[in-house]
Amino acid sequence: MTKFSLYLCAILIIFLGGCSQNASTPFSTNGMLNSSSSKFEGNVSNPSSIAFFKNNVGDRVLFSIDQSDLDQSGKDILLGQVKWLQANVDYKIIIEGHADERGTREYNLALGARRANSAREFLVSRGIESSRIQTVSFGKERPVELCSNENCYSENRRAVSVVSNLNF
Amino acid sequence: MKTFLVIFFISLSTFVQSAPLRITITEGVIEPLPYAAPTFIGETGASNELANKITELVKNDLLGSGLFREVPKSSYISGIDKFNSPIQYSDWKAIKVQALLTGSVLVSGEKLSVKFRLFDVFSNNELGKGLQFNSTKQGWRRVAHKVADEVYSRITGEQGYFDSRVVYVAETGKKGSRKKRLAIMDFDGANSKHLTDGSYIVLAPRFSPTGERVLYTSYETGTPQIYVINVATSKRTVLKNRKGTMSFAPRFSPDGQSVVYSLEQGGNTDIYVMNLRNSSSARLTSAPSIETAPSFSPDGSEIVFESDRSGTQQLYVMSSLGGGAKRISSGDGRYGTPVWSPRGDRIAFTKQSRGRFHIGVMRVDGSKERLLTASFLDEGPTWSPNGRVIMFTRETQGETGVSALYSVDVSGRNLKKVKTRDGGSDPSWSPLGK
Amino acid sequence: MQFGHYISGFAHLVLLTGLFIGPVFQNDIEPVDYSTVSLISEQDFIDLTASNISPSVSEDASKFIPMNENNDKLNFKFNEESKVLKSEGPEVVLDEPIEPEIKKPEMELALKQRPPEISKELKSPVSEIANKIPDVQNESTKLNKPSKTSKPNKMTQPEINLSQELEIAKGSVDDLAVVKDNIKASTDIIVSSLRPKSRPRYISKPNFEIKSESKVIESVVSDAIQSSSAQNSLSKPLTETETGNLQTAIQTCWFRDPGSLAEDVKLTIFMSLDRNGRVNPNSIKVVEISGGDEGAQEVAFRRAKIAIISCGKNGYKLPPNKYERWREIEVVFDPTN
Repeated sequence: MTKFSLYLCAILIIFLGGCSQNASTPFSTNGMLNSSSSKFEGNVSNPSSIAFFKNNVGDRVLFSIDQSDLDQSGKDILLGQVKWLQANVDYKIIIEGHADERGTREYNLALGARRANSAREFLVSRGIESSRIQTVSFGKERPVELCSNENCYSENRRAVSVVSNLNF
Repeated sequence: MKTFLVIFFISLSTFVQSAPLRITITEGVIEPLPYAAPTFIGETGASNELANKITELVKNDLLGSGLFREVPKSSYISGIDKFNSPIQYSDWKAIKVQALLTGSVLVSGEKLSVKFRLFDVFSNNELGKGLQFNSTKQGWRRVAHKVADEVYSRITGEQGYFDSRVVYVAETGKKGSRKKRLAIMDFDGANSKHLTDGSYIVLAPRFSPTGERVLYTSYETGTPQIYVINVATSKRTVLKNRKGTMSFAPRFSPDGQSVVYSLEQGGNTDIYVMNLRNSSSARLTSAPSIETAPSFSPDGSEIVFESDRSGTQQLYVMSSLGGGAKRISSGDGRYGTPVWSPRGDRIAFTKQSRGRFHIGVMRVDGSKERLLTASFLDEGPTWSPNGRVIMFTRETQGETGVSALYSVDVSGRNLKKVKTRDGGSDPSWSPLGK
Repeated sequence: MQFGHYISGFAHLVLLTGLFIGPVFQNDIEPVDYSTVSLISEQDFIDLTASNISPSVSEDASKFIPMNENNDKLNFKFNEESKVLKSEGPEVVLDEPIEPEIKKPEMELALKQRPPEISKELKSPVSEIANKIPDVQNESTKLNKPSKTSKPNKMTQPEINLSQELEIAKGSVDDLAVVKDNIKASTDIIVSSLRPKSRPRYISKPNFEIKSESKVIESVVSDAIQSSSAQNSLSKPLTETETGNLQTAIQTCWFRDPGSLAEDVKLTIFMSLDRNGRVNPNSIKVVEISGGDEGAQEVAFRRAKIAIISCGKNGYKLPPNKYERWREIEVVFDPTN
């Protein structure tokens, strides 16, 4: 029952997203190291495009301080990614784990890896072949928001799914 | 009975009278030690320029340690006009000089010879023997550092640290897309040069025990892997690793034969050790928690590392063969990046507590914790080769935040910024030069 | 005893080609004794300038004599480790691979061998910012104290209260005999000079007792003296103000370095003074020393000596009529509190 409503929810989100083409993306993408340039992302109106994945499916999940557990909204986004990946079987993803700047370098690397893996395990548990997913951690090296307060920190504690149709 | 006692007291009284008066001094002056260093004598006209530069650099080193104060030349009663002139100790005593350094510099062609002598003014004695350093003109900075190391060592009884280098990450560009390059420089910031070009992220370089090689973590292949670079030739090799894993936080063992590091697999980070000769590796921890930032004790028998197995980052010591991990940190807050001191008696660490970051030191058993610094973000301590000074990364906050290298004496005094051309982070101090 | 002998760490850092001593400049006054350290190999050094070497220098250079007859310890170490450096300038390029052994300061072993201390602060470390008053010295003592018991908090010294003192004062003959032995022991130490054979002789507790007991004895004795009125004012002990003045005078010249290993060293120095309060420099000797390694002890002694000499250069202000009391003084330098 709950599972079913979840699923509904996810579909709804994807559907709604798909309707609002010009809606500004809820996530900033600057500073992303591995994000493909928009040239290769295709048109956002094409549901098989990378642009659609980023803007409409949602390419990232956020975490609370020091945590790597997925919350409900994170799971919802990942369910959307599952759908998309199932529909676009040529694509693979690299999940990048990140941490905010309030930690030591090594620990944040390990923490980012935990977050990336947490997202990965969720995708695999929902049927995505593990061979299609790679993970990497950037620790605190690539913040997406630069201010030094919780508003920015919460955006930086993230796992970002970067899709590509290249082999790795 | 009573008479016996009286007799005893009287005999005792004469005895006590002859015993020396005893007084106890527990307070002293905590001030830099006053010394004098007249400009080194240039033995030829051509030697004068380097004589001045060398005198100046020796002074910078000594003053920079925070342990010395130079008595101004204007207060000198007698000068030193020849290297082997007899010393008028009373003239130096009168201006409260405790140590007197004299030297001479001879440049001929490309050749440089520097001699110095050091005097213990209050004992009317030479402190150690005179020394002469031979080098080339281009090597003058090293010679000056060597002279300063000798002076430091003779006066403090401890090894110096001036003839040493620091490898670090030079940082340029904005916070979100920072360019990070491996760089190496003299401990005082001179002779800086880059070892990598900045097209990929590099992190946390660590010197080998002899200072010839540097371990670091690089994103060259897309995921963090450990590399070794030869400082002299810039030749790099990647450490053998398994696909789908991430390795980072490497450090050499004291014998330089193996590397202890963190390996992440499936989201879990543990500590491994790799023998560099045959690339075989062994796992030292196996917990579902994060185990990272390992550092060997100087005798190689133990490893200190951080782990969040208790729920927060804390410090643990285990055998270098793995096992028997004992938690040593016990204060409130989080502890990370432990580094064993070269003296072996202390561990430096980063502490996060109440929104502030600190560099601190503690005994090897975790007792006697002392915080040396506090700021928005201090992290990643490295010890000077003599275990006396700690260098670390300090980052300022906000969108314009930058990283810089700082150093602080283990007493908590003499906190200062280390000169670097660009921003800097993750310093690692070399052993003393040969 | 030259301090240069004890620069233990130095042996590690110097790789030499040749060692030369001897006068380079005219030495009509006194030959200057020094050693040569080459940062490049001797041959490279000569080659560099073979063409443009100035005659006077080469003449001087010919005067270099190899030093091996000089058995100076410092130089001996140089010889032992004579390796060749061919690097020039700041690049450290080694001619031969160095065996990758750890360069460990000697004292490390000493530190390691000591039994680990049990600190009462283990549970709640004092984490103050060290800027105020660094307490390195405090840590250091503990390291050096032989921790003979495994009970924590044993470090705190028992308070000696008045009733105890009275007990000693009024005690049996046996008690007094013990006290006498203690005093005798302390004078024995004075007689035996310079360095104690075994280092950690100082255990603060017995020391404290000696002090308090001798104080008690002093008061008992002076009481006895006063009551018998046998002696004159010469034997009156110095007042607290008088000893306090002396303490203050010395401590203003005692240079300390809180981060140094010398802060582990507690030492007692003996000196004799003339009637003007001036120290006889030849009388200065170490009565007792504990803590730290050899280098640290050397430095601690030098710093203590400088304190005594430099502050007493015009004579310490002491009551002339009590000269017998202060003609000989033992100064305990204790940075370890």
